[in-house]
Amino acid sequence: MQRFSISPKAMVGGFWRNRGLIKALVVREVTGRYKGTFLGMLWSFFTPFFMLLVYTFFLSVVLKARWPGGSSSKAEFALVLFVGLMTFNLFAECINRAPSLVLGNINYVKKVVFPLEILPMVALGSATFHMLVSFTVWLLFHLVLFGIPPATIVLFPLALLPLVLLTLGFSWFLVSLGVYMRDITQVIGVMTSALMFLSPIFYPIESLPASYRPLMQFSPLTLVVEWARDVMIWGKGMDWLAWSVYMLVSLLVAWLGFAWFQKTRKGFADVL
Amino acid sequence: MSSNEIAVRVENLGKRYEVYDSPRNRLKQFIIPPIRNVLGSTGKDYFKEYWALRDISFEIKRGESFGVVGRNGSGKSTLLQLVTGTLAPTTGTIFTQGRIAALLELGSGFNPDYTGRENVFLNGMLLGMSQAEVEQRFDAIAAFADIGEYLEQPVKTYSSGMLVRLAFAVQVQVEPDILIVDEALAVGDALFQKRCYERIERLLADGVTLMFVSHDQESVRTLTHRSILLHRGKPVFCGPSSEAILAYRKLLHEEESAYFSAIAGNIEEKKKQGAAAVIGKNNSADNAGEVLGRSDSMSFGDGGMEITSVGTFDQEGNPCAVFYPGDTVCICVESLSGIDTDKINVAIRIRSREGIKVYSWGTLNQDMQVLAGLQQGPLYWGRHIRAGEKFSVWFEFASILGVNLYEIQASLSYEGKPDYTEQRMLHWVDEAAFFQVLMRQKEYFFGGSTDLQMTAKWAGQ
Repeated sequence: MQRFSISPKAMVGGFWRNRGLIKALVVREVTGRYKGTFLGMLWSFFTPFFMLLVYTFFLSVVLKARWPGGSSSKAEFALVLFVGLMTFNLFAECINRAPSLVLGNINYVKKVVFPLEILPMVALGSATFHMLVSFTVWLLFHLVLFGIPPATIVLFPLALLPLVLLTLGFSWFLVSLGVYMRDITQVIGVMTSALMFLSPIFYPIESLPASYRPLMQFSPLTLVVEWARDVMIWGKGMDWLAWSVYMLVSLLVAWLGFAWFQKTRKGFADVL
Repeated sequence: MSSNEIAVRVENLGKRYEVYDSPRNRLKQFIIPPIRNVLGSTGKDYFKEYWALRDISFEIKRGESFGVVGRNGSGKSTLLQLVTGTLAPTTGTIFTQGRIAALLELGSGFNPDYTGRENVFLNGMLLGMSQAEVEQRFDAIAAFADIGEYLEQPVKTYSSGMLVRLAFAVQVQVEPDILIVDEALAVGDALFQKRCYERIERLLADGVTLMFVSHDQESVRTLTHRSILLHRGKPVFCGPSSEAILAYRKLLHEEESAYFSAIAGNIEEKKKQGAAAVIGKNNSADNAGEVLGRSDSMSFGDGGMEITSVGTFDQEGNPCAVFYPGDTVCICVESLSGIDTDKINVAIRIRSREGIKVYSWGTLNQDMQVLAGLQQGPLYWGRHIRAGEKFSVWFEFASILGVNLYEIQASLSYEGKPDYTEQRMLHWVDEAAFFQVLMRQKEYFFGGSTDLQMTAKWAGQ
């Protein structure tokens, strides 16, 4: 069995070496989710589409909600909310699945020499795909209801980048932890649900009393959700200093997660 | 020898399993001892250790084929997994050179939810091929696996035979440098196995290095040059395969004997009876090695009287353990009595290799015929036996048995009534003696377990 390097170079190298495999697995996962259904792949489009449709109707017609600080348009609330949800889902899907990634693929541990470190990348890839579909749906609604979104929308991927790295780091950590402590799966489910309400997804951060706002920054999603709204809806740029700091922290977390994973993976075959 | 002629080198290899009561303890073990080390203190470990493999060293040259034999749980699969790289060794080093394709257990690394086709691609890519390379070989793989339209079904719907067909097809088509085959092939049908062995032989001819585990001693002998014999994780023998197999057989035999005497011991203990259950060596054992010389026996009984030896003889009274149809088979049961008694029945039971009771009969059966007036002769049931008396009973029959190995069980019982309704077992011996029935194919032959001595004639002449 080879030594598992914990260097950041190994982290990037692992991705690059296995890019073909990652791609194949992501494609398999994306197409496999709705396999056997009549509409097939179309479901990955319809699911967010109907969700957004329901949100829009419910929030604007039934609740007549207005996003505080936004324009007076009725449909705006749904679109603002959806941006937050999209971001949250990307994070939550990966994190929720992470503890069971190795547990669900015991063959990859015991029967073949498999680059296990790519499993979180595959999960991330499929989550990203679903987010892209949601994004397309969102864009469609925006075009119909409000016209062309602000030009700052091109910054959206950049706004997400730190979150992606952070998610990957957490995933690596959780994948390994999940093998040794199966309770993790349950704990994580509760935590991500809580996180949904503890991040400014259903409300703007301004609607909190000022004294609570710093607490919000503990959620890794807060900043990213705010940025995403800024660039996609309000047409504002990003706070590049904050972004750079977040980016550095995310890189560190990603690497620590990777290092932890590489250090602990030797024991997988013995526990499973 | 230059190092590039070595395909696998294993030095001083050991695999220790840390047996934990719960996965939580494992995590503690990860974290707490290093902290203790830093602090300079010592403490208990959170596991019990178990060595699955120890002190294993060998080299396999390129193009050589190497077998691994041993009983279940001797560490064969662990060794293969270590060489493959799915397990990390605890001690020692493993050096391998070239692409390793491994067929460990069933359907190595298949994802049960994916279709056969998807798994083929996945597996190929894991073995270091690009998508295009797999595509190129796909038809050959499909043809070898020969599972038809199942290729498009999820692997979880496969039978174990189909699974191993597909797995094997992928592994051999990727042109490995080292092929590792666990005993998986055993689940394939005869035709597929034949094709596998042909394929393996062709790979060997092409200079592929093979590591092979099988319980089929014959295929180990024919497919491999050298073998290692493992016993409880330790190497017992490493050398030419034929010698390794011989050592393995010897080991098996010793283990089996030990197992049987352990069972006999258990029965003894349960019965807590005074009668010593030592049984004489079966008389025919010295017959030119034709019989399994089994000195250990299993026996039980209320005691008071014991069977001292059981043997098989030919018509002339010479020890004999091989018979042909029509031969007279004589079985002699010698016993020693420790009590004064009568109403004794000496009986035997003949069982085939498959454990089927072919026949059981005893002196009481004959007595019953006498009592019924169907036969003239002395009544053994009424015979008085004194304490310390030795007595033998000769059973005799003309063999109409089919080809098989037969086991004789012998028993001494006290029969309160001459009709088997009031029986008390005094001594019972399993595997008291063995004999074989063979056939002279060209002279007299029949199939099956019994000679019904049929005749035939053409009708209408």
